Amino acid sequence: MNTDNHNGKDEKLVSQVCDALDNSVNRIDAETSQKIIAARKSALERTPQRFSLPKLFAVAATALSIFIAVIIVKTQLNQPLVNEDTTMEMVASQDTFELYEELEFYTWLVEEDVTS
Amino acid sequence: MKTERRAFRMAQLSTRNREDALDIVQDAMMQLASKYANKPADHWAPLFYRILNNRIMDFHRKNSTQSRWRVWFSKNVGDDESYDPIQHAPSDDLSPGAVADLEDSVERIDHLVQQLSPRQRQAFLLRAWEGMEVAETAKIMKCSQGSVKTHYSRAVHFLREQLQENL
Repeated sequence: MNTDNHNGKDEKLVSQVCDALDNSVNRIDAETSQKIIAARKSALERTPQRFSLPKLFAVAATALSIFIAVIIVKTQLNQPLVNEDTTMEMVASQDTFELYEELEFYTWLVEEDVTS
Repeated sequence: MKTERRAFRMAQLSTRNREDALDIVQDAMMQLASKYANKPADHWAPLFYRILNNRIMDFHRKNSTQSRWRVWFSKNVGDDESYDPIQHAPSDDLSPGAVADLEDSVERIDHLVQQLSPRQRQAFLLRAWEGMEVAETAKIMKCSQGSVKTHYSRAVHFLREQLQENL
């Protein structure tokens, strides 16, 4: 019971204090009010602007072009300079290698034939 | 606009200085606009009060550090008189006798709210004046819900005692 009375008294007291505070808000002088408005305005001017639709499209198109360019360049870099089949043929053909090794001899042989 | 005006009064009650209060409110609005503009609208008020209260606590911390330095220097100057915190407290141009004679209840209550400790004042203004829940107030004040209840209860107790004395 006592607690209820205290709560009731406290509610009255709290509402009295809050009323006084509300009144004090209403009594803020014009100069201060102007300064608060100016502060609010300058804060709003600082608000970061959200992306507009055309800007968003431009960013997306640029990103897509860069992505495609990267894919093309990467594909070309991965492509071997010599065809794998050709390499295999060269490795498999022992005769060709011998020819290259004894090229000097064959050259000399041809020169000898010509002179004789 | 109402929120900013109330925020200004909160800051003014804490700083007891119009210019400091305006700086704090402007700073809080700037931070809200630059960092949290993309948050949903119903998050703005609690975020704004959290920033505002952080700024007010920063102000108190800065002032108490300055006071400590003042005490240290006054001791080292060789002044025999002990430091009087009441004399060095920010002046609100009201002598204790004048406070009792205040006819305007707004000013009297203003003065009483100013006399609360910073944490008690925060808890009281957020809970009673802004009508925030205990959990929300605790989040803004960065403390437990129990602490909010304690600060609020002490604030109400102090105001009750003072108003009964003065009325």
